[in-house]
Amino acid sequence: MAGAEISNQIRRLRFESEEMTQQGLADRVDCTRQTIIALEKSRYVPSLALAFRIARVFELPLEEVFSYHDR
Amino acid sequence: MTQSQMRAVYTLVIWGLVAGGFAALFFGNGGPDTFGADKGRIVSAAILIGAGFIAYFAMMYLTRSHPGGARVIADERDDSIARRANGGTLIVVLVVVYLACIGLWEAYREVGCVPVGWMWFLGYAAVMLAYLTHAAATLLLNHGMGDHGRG
Repeated sequence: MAGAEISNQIRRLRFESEEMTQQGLADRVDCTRQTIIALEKSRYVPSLALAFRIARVFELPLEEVFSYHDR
Repeated sequence: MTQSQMRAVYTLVIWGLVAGGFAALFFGNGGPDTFGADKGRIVSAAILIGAGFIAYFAMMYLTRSHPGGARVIADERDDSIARRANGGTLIVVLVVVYLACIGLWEAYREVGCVPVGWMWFLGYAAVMLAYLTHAAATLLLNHGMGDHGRG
């Protein structure tokens, strides 16, 4: 259920970053394309390290990429 | 398809074939009651299992890199799936072995002893079941976390 509590803006941010591909983002943050797919569909909650790497790629603070919702 | 998914599919094929062959050897030609005294079937089963291990480790070696050339072939999500698959596999194997023992006890309670061939079956089946369950769990967890719908 943890996956449903954390949402992210990765998909939108990719398209705003010159339509960066999922594989392109995956290569830049050292994960697989399948993990990016899972993240975009909120099926997987990343580790803090991966979350920070993703935020760094978009040059945004963590909370502008990921958000936590109380249930 | 990630490396772990690809390996899981190959594992299902390899150990599925071995399990099918072993079941035919064990339950055919006289069945469990004569397996323990039939050296031909025991040796055939050992060769089959050995071939299964050789095929499995060859597959692991041949799939050590991603055919698509992706730079990262496994990441933290794969580790998470592997950990959950390990836990699930342990539970499944324990439950199945427990149920098999109880079943044998019930089946042979009146006779007072269990044909020794069943010990071969329990040993080999536990190994095959562990590989098959782990592979199936890996695919199911990937399905649930991946791009194939909600799991």
